[in-house]
Amino acid sequence: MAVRLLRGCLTLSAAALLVGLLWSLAVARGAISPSSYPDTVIRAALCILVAIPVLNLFAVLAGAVKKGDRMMAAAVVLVLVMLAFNVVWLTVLRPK
Amino acid sequence: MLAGAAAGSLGALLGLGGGIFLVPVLDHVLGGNFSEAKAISLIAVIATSSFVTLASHGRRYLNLRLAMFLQMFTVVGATAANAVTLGDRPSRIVFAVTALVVAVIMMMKRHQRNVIHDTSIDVGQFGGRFHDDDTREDVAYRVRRLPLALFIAFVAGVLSTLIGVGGGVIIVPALNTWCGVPIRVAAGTSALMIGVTAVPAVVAGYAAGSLNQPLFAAAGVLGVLAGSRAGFWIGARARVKSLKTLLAAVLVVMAVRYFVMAF
Repeated sequence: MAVRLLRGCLTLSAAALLVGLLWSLAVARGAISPSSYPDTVIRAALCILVAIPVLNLFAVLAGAVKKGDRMMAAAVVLVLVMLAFNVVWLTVLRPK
Repeated sequence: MLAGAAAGSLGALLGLGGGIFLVPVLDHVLGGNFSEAKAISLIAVIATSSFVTLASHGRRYLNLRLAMFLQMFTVVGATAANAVTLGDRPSRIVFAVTALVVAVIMMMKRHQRNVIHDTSIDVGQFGGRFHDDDTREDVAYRVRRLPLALFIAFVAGVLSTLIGVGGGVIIVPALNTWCGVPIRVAAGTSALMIGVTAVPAVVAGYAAGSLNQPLFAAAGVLGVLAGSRAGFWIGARARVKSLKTLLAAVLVVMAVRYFVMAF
């Protein structure tokens, strides 16, 4: 179920990237009037794409909890915590 | 898009991020904007990783348990390396020497397949079973020297922060050569890991405003997705020995590139 959902996210992201790319090319060739929408579509698609590995970790965590595999669940939680710390460090705490 | 396709093929075949192709090409196309090239390359790594780990063909070779335990050490390594200051030159030399040594060992052990034909054996906590495309039969494998595998995962995390290479280039050959993991399983497992490791750097790059040309990112990702399909097609037909030779060749190319960058 989770894998199907994530596959759906990947397909949605790829489709949105293709639409954004073709839209941008059409704007660049003057076929369509200029707009910021293609850029927004591409950025939204990239956000969905970047979220997939993290959502996958949550799916693995849910699977481990369901199976009662505490060691695996603890490993995934630690990975998620370290990822969150890394994001906070790189975006907020790291000296410029 | 073509560079993305090459990166995607490598990702699906060998579990590597493919930044070795993407970064220089994007750097050239974007007129020397290295940080933007690196940010787009990392997004492409996530695309490869997601495609490989979600496709049913890729999942056959994914050892989720091993991936999560190695990932724990990779992320700790990547985080710890934030506190380390090592000059570009020493880190590039260390990486180049490591890649060269691993390539030589890999070539010396290219006939080693790490599979056990008796699938009824106990594979332990981290081993597994899969259908081997080479022999067309079900095989099993056991993970040996787990502490070494965890240490290698940690080093891969450190290197990913220090010099921006994905961990796959270290993890895949090391797991295969020293830890008894078949090459396809090592590649599938690494594919999941490189995507997770890339996430913080992508978020940081986006927050720092490194992604100003999303059009190139879109083209790169679409190329990667097409290339990953091609990589699966080739991978299903390639012999294990050929995959190992290709991986050793990629390592030598990377080693030479980093030596040149260092001097």
